[in-house]
Amino acid sequence: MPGIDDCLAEAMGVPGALGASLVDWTSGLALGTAGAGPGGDHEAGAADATELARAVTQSTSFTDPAAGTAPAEDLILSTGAAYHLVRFLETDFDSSLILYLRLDRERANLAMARLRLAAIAEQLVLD
Amino acid sequence: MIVTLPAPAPPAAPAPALRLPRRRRSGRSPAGPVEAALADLAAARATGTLYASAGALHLADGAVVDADSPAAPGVEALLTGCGRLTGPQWAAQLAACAGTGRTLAEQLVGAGHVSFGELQLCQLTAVLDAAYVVLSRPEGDGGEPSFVPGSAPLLTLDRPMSVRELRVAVGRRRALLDRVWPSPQLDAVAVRRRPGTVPRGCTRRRQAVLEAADGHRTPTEIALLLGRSAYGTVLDVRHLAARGLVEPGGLTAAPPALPPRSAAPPGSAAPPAYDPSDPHVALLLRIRAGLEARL
Repeated sequence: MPGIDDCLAEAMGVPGALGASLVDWTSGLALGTAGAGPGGDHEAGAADATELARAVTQSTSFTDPAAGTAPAEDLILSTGAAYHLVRFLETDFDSSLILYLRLDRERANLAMARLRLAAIAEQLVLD
Repeated sequence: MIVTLPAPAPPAAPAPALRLPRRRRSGRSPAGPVEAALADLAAARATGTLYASAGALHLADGAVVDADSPAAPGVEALLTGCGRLTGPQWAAQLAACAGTGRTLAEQLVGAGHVSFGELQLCQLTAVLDAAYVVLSRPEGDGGEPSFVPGSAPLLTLDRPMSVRELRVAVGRRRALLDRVWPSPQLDAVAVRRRPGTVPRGCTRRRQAVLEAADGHRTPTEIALLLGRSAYGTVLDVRHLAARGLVEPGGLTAAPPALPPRSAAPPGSAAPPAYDPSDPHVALLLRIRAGLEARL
C-alpha cells in the first residue's frame, strides 16, 4: 500500500523528473522529498511552489465555486529549461497539500507527466 | 498556462503620517515560553510531551512526532468529520489495539478504514494544525508550559518534524493570514455574516463557513463543527473578512479594529493608533505582511 515516500519515488520515475516533493501550501513546509530540489534546495523550492499555489487560492478570478477540498486541479509553469507541475491533493478530510514535480524540459513530455502526476496524487489518497 | 505571482509592493506608496505598530516577524518572533521550552527540548534531544495552555506537543529525540489541541481537530475528528469512520468505530479500533498489540495506525489501515497514504496525510495535517494553535496562542493564566518525559502518543509521524521547520512553518502560516486580511482580532471572537451582504463567487468551502458564522461561534468552533482544520477555517474567515462578508459577532460598526498583535500581553491591548479603514493604512499593512512573508 503506497505511502508518501512511495508516491514521491513513483513521481521520480516520470521521464525527465528532477525532483518531487509533498508540500503544505499554507506553510510552505516540505513534508516529503525525492530527487533534487531547485538549486539543490527542496526547502526553498517548497516555499516557492507554495507561492504559485497561493496565487490560485487567493485570487477570486481563479476561484471555482464548485471546488471541493482542492481549490484547483493543477498548475503548469514552463521555463526554457524546465517544467514545474503543481498538483493540488483532493482529500476527503480538510487539508492544504500539493505535489510539486520539477522536470527537465528536454526529456519530459508535459502531457504525459501531467497525467502521471494526477494518477499518483489519486493513488496517494485512495486505497 | 501563465501564472502571475502576487505583484511586488508598489515602489512609491503614499506615506500618510501614521505610525504602524512595530511587530517582529512571526517566524522569528522572540520565543514565548512554549517556543523557548521547545527549543531547549530540541537541543537536549528530549523524548516526552510538552503541555502548554492551548495543547500539547509530543517529541521523540528532540523532533515533533505528534501534536494535539482541544482547539484543533485531530486525526479522529478529521476522519469522522468526513465520514470515513464513525466515533464508535474509532473507539473499537482503539480497543482492538490493546488486544492485538498492533499500533493504532496499523489497526486503522488493516481494518480498511483509511489507506496508508491517506492516514499519513491526515496525521501531518492534524499535527501542523495543532502545532499552529499551540505556538500561536499566548500563554494565558495557565502558567509555564510543563514537560513530561517519556510519554508516547498513540499515533506518531513516520517522518518527525524538526522544531526549527515547525517554527518556520507556523511563522509562514501567520504571515499568510496577515497577507489575506491583517486583522488577528477575528481569529478568536464569534463572527457573523455581515447583514445585507450577498456572497458571490464563494467556494462551497467558504460558503459553509459563512453559513456557520451565526454570531455565536468563533472560528475554532466553526472548524470543530465542520470537522475542518482550525487554521484553514481561520484563513477562510480572513478571506471572507477581506471581502467584507463577515464581521465580529458583537459589533455592528464596519471595519474591525486592528489590535497590535503580540505587542502587548493579552488583556491589555492598547487601542490602535491608526484608522484601519483608511485605504493607505490597509495598503501599508498588506505591504508589511508581504515583506514579512519574504524576509
